[in-house]
Amino acid sequence: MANPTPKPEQIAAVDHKPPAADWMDTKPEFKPGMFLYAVRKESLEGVGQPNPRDWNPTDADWKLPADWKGIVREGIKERLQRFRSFQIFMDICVRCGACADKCHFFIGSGDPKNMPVLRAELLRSIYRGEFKVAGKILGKLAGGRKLTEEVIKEWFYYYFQCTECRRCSVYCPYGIDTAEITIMAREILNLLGCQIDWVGTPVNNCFHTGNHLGLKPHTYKENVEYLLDDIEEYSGVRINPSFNRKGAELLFITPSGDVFADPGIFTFMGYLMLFDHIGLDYTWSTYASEGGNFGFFTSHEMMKRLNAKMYAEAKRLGVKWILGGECGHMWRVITQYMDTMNGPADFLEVPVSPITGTRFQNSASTKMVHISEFTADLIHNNKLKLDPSRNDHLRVTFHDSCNPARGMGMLEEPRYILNNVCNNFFEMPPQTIRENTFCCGGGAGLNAGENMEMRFRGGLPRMNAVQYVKDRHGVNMLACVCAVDRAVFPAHLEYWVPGVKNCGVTELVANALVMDGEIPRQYNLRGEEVNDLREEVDLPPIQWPEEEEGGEPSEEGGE
Amino acid sequence: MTFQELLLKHKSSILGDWVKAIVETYPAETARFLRQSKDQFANPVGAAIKTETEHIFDQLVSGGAERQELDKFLDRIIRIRAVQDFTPALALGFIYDLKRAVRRRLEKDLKQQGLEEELLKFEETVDNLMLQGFAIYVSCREQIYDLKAMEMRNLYAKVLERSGIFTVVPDQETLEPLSETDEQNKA
Ligand code: SF4
Ligand code: SF4
Repeated sequence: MANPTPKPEQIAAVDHKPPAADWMDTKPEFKPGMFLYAVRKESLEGVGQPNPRDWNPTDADWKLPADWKGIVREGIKERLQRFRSFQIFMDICVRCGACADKCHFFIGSGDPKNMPVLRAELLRSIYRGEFKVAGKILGKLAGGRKLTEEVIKEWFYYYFQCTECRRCSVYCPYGIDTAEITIMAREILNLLGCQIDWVGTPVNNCFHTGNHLGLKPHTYKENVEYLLDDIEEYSGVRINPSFNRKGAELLFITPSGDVFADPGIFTFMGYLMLFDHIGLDYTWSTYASEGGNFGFFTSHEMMKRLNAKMYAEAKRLGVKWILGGECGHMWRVITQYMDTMNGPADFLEVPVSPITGTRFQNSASTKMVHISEFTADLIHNNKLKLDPSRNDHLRVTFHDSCNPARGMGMLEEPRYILNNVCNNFFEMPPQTIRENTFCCGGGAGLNAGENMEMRFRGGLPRMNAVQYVKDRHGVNMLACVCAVDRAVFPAHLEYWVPGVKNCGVTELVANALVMDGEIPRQYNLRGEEVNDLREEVDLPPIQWPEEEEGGEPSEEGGE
Repeated sequence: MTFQELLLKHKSSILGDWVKAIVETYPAETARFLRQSKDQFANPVGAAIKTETEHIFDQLVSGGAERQELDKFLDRIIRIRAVQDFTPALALGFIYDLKRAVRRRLEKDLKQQGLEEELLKFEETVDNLMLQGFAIYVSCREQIYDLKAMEMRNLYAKVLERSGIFTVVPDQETLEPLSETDEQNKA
């Protein structure tokens, strides 16, 4: 949609100051780049979600169901009863403002409705106006307002501009978690069929084929095989993993994005090499081929349905426990919800590393161990042959992904690994890492393409901290343990901090791994020539032995 | 006193006015935050506005303003405004606010000392700054569209390439004469 060119008199009348208006009186404008597309009808139908229809957020008429007000009121009421936290969060906020400036979307956009306190108020004002006597009578004066279609549009705009990262909750003296309010608001929007496509379609795909993109088993396997060819090309080692093998000791599950999307594929290659290196008895599943769970961004019920398939597959294959890859929200689902939702998984064993004998007591109930916990334990017990100097051309910093950091409390393991697989590791400033970490800007289903400007705003605080370590320490690689981060960061970095690339932690592990039977590792997993990379940072070239063969990769490998 | 000396003498009040004008292009609650929060990591937008306006001012006052340097400073503010909720005019209007700030703070002195001519010259420099800013703004917007395409490619290109649906065209410089390229594609 092109905007008409303004007339000279309109330009002359441009006032630099925005009008002073109460937040309740300002309405969101759905501009390209700033909002997410509506879910397609078939995706809702595929999983039996209510009110599937064709609609568009820029339409005046959203074709809400006839009794939409009743549905919303009932939806709020039911959730107030079911979730004690929701009721408390609706009641106890004293509007102290401690959370106000902690949201990356507020910091990056400057839009006051992205202040967590106001984001929550979007729903709280309806709670007051529709459920509380004072709010019903006094309306605005008591912070209440009436439910209108405009409110639904505003919810859609702002609750799909929250990545459920929980940074704000860290600063709230009452522990109010705005992410949970967003979760409730999205559930209610879902009752009206107001979902975004980037969440709704992956949910439907995942439910029917096992992963977000809807890759069928043979396609999934083929993709892995391509990666195996690349591994052989660059390292000289041929790996033959198993798929859907009954009786394997472990089942490995990771986000499907990493099997085809650049640069996640290099982390995926890392898993394959690591497991081969230690001789792990494990299998991949082409049915539970998705670690991510976009059901979490839909409703508790949908999250449960999608989570259940991983455990059903573990049961079918008869494995002892599940090892999980680098993913963000998958771990929040496992750590915070799985146990009371689909657990306890009593048919599985308490995870014990077959290589080190370490018992992962923290996963005694969920039976699922994070790859970073697993790898850190391997390194701690000297089970990996590592040559960290292979990563010497990299100056690495680490982004704590919101969910592993704030959702499961995993802060040390990735750092321990990085410090063992590379020689140049630098932390970003303390107010931007660990539990204070800034979101990548694309979590909770917001990593679509159509909302890139919105995402860039959300990613600004994180990128600003990356810029700082780039300027200070020459950092050129941003490592993380989340597949969404991996997909989101390339564009964010190009725009905000050109010259810095991003990767998964396991990619760096694999580049440092000294594999049995390997050829000289002249190329990294991306097919880049190590000596070229060294030259870029003024390191002397490595002299490779002459007679080795197989060093020249073909055209299509990497860029 | 020369024009430059006057600018330097009133530097902090001119910059104060300029920053205030920029900050006030945001809603009131945001403006308060942008002004008050001093931590460059908690408030990167406020920090960029404050730091870069001073850099730009210093460059202009120094006389021998370096275009590349100015580009760098302008970029840090415009890159942010190019993705925020501004029309192009509002995103760039802040550059002209420097004129207003200088005029407001120096007008009397300049009149007294007969330096109005200098002010006009300075304003011309700011006009040029606006043109520079315009180029930066457009390049930021173009980059966003490029990045949208890049992201799609990263997501799906490998799958499509391997399934033969999609062929990656080599860089322009390495392109062979058409007939040979066709042969290669067929192979
Ligand atoms: S910090 Fe907590 S109590 Fe204070 S405004 Fe935010 S949510 Fe409300
Ligand atoms: S959960 Fe994260 S994205 Fe949502 S309001 Fe809080 S800080 Fe912002």
